[in-house]
Amino acid sequence: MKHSLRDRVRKMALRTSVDQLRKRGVEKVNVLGLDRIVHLIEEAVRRSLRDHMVGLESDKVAQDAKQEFMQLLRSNADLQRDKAELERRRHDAEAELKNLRSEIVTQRQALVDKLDESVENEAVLAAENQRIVDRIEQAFLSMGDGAGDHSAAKSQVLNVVMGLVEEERKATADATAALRDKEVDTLQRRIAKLNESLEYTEKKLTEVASAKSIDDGVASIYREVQGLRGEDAHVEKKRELMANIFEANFALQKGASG
Amino acid sequence: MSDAKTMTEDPMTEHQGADAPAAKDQGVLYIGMDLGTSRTSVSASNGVRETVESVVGYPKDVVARKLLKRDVLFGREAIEKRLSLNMFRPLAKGVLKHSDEGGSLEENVKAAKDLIAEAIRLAKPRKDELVYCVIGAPAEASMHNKEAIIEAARATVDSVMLCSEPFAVAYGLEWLEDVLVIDIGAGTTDLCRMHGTMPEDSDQVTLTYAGDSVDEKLSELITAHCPGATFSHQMVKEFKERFSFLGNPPERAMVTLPVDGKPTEFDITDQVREACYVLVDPIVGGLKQLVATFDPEFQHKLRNRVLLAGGGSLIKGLDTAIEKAMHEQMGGGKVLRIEEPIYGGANGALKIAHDMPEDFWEKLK
Repeated sequence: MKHSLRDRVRKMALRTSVDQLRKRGVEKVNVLGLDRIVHLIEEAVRRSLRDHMVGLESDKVAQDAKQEFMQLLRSNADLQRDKAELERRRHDAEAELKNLRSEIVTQRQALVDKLDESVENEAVLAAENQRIVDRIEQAFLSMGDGAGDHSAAKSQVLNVVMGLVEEERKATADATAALRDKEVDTLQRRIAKLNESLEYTEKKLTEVASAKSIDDGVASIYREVQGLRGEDAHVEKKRELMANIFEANFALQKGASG
Repeated sequence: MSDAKTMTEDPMTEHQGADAPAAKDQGVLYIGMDLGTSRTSVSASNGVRETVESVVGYPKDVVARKLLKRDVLFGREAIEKRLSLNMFRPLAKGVLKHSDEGGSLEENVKAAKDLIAEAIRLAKPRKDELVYCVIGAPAEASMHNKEAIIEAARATVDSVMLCSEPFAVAYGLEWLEDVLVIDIGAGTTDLCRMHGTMPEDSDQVTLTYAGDSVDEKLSELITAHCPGATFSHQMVKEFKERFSFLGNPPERAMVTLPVDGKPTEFDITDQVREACYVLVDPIVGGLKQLVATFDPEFQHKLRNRVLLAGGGSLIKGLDTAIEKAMHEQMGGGKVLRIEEPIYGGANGALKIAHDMPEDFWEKLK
């Protein structure tokens, strides 16, 4: 119990550096050791129990305190579980984001490659055309000089052959283009869907991050509203000042809201 | 029961029932807030103390929003990312003003509300505790501005009150009568005379000579002393915060400024001193006015109980310089700098919150 109280007090402390304190205008600090704080808390609890337990059954008080403590522990365990769950969701969302981004890059590259194919094809076709022309030239050359002037015939043959080749190519190109357009369209739709998923997952991640940033808060040292005590210095003057502040605020707030 | 709620999704609702708000029966958190032109500080009864620069930034466009992954930034973080943000300093001179880029009053009201919500969030309130907050507002805040501050705070606390900032400083130190508070902020310096009751208008003097005036003067002097050097307003502010002094310098103020792109070292010690001195005469003028119009039987006491507070009180030697000027112009005086200038107002507001009777809080819910 003493060990967990010590840890609890340590967890409530705010860490800072001497330089930070100096920046805030603090030049001197009073230091109180952790052991001393724990001892003071225990002493306060002991005295409070002693003062309030007159006429009470100490066993019942101890039992009630134990139940309250166990309730707090259970509540703390629930909060720890919630926190772990949020951490897991955040981790999963980040992994999904990473996968989606990688997938988008891959699909975009596939789209670019598809579009580049048409450029490469033109160079290949030009080379093929040149090979056909060369073959026809060779065929006419092999007929020899005795057959007379073949330039007109060669030209006609070339036109016919190239016309047939162009027709076949066009048919093939049309079919290929239709197929490519379909593939490009599919890729583009896939990319659009991935972008949508990416946005949605990023939004979810932001929400999870916001939820995670809601921490339990730090408990106040007061269980009840305080107010002035009879033994406070200048208590009457302070009461008057508090009343004046309240009246001014009441007029401001209730007067404004009508 | 007030309609104060947390502003984000609550992961605990699964346990409490999806539609049931958290029962606030586990304690009372008091928050004292000092809402300043340049800086907002909070002190809370859970031991939390935080301070943030009173600057709010909103992403300029969708690209900035995706990059920053946030809808709003505050304080130092906003300043660092200011190139991607529309920046607001909503509490300049205690009034809700236009933004640095000339935004509307409505935009500044929203920025003020967001700043107050952030300050309360920094105090780490628990969902199962009542939150009662006292805000020290600038002395010259108009009725309209006070209403806007109240409305902003009510969104995130159960009950809220405003009080005069210099009054909060004195109350926190238990100096309730015959004391004169000088609260040096960025936009204004407020002087407030305490005599055992709530200060009235005649007990308060507001000067426009404050931290920003020192920055402006220092900029002028650096321009004259460092020919060709380029610098920003933010850099001048940082020089002031690091080196400000009056009297004998604790160290030389050596700074590096670019001249035609080349980092060049300059000694601006004398310029810093001269810039800080712009505060002294106006402050002593204000002191004279408040002392001279006080009950003559107690003027001597008032003159010897002058409290120096606010960020401007961090100027080394300012208390001595004011005392010296009081000796020359007023026949004497004693100036005391409070121990925690940054949190003095917030601590005082916290004490007021603590001392306020329960039924007063209930009536304002």
